[in-house]
Amino acid sequence: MNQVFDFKRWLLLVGKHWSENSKKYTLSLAAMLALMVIWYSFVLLLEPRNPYPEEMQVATYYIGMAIAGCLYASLFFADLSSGPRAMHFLSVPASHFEKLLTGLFYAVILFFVCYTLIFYLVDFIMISIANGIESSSEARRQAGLIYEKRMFNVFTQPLGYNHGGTPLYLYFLVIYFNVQSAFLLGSVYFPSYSFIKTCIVLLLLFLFGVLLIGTVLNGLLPDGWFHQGLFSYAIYEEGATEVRGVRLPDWVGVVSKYLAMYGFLPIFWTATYFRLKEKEV
Amino acid sequence: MIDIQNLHFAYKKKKVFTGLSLKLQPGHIYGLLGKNGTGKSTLLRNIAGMLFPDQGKINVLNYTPGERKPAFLQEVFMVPEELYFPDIPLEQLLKYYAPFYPRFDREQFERYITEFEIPRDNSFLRMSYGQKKKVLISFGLASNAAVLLMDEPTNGLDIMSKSQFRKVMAGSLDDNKCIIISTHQVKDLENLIDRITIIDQGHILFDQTIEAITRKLSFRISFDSEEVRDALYSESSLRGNAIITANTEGEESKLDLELLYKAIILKRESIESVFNR
Repeated sequence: MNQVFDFKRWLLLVGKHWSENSKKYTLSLAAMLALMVIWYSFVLLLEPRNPYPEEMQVATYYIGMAIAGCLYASLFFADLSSGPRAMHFLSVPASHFEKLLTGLFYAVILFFVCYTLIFYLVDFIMISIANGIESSSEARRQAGLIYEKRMFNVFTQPLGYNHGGTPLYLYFLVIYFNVQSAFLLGSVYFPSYSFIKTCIVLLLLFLFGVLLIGTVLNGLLPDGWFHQGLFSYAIYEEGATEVRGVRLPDWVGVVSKYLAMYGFLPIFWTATYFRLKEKEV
Repeated sequence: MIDIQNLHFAYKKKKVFTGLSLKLQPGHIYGLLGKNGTGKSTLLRNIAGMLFPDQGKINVLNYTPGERKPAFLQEVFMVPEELYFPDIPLEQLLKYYAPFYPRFDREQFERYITEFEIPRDNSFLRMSYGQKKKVLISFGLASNAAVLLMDEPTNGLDIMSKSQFRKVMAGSLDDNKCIIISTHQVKDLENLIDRITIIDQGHILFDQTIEAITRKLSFRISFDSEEVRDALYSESSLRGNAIITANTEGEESKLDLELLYKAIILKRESIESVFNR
């Protein structure tokens, strides 16, 4: 028997988790659906003629997913905060890796799929209702002023915006999964109030990054400004007719970008694994 | 089966164990006795891999508990004092939790549940504390894990349940199992355990088999003032004086676990002197 990963054992763990949480999850999904319907109805009341433009649908999808996904991830290992529950969780005969993988399966994959399905279900229903209301106006129909709303694919480029060839939705997704993985780590790290504590830690890290760039790097560099990102710097020289600049090789920028986009996930997941391993009750 | 060598453990600055060593063999029910806060639960959690030693080694069935490998967890089942089981019906518990234990015996579980008179259709949330405990004990026994750790298992059980517990436990031991019961309610373990280990302030005060105890010590009620005065330990009671004396005549007497426990705590040296002869 493999002591790190055994597919059959992992399936047992996935089934066990579902049997213990199915009621809670079904209710949570229903609550999420209800909240989304309320939000869409509210928008429809505010702006009955054009309630659901592309930006609104994209913002609803990604902001909603960020809030709900991070909250769920921060609660996933909440059992570890109470002695008896933690003992039950840790004494289930499965490896730490399988326990982590179960967390990733539910909190990352299944949540993403369920949230997307709920979003599109509400999106479809509410847009149909909005179109129904619009087309029921005889006066507008006769004047040819019917404005048909359409469902927007949130995984395509919205708003005609393009950033360095990478579609914007990809940035949204990457940021979401990175931040969510930090919340998953937070759920193992902080025995209580893990959502709030992770928020505070992330905020402090963000401020630290800003401080590092704004103060430390600026102090080291000559007078000037960052130009087109963090990898080229324009130097200010009094009386100069041309702007001189320092530019790091392109590959540094490319490598850094991909590291920032895809490097945090494995780091946070690995940290979660080791934190699970060293957890004591 | 369980080999603890020079165990050091502390909760931050509060030292619990400073060099505890202990060997436990299969085929026995060990009674781990001691006052509150002496480290009984901590020892069980160290054996179960829920706490890690600061120093020293613990070997359970050739596994290091702290690694919590699945093969180890299949062989060690713990019934903690404060217990938790998810709020699911018994049937679902068997369907989703039992397959983790390769030697889980459903018939055995059903037998224990019947013995403990647990209603089958109840979910955990609707059960009383005592019922939950009995389900967990039944599950642990039916898992046929080689090591069964029980922390204050009789807490919360009524008189009838305690008697059922002793009956079930007595019938569940086999040569491959090692059962460790930690308790401060020593009376509950009478006629059940076959070895007593008493812990106090992180050290083992006393560690003997019941057979050795009854061979070396005699427990009885006495009205003879001279005998009471010469006893290793005596205690007045309504029936007379309960005394412990050295068993020099090879007579058989019924072990009074509570009396022995008090004697070891209060007059350890005189009791030990009998065993060192």
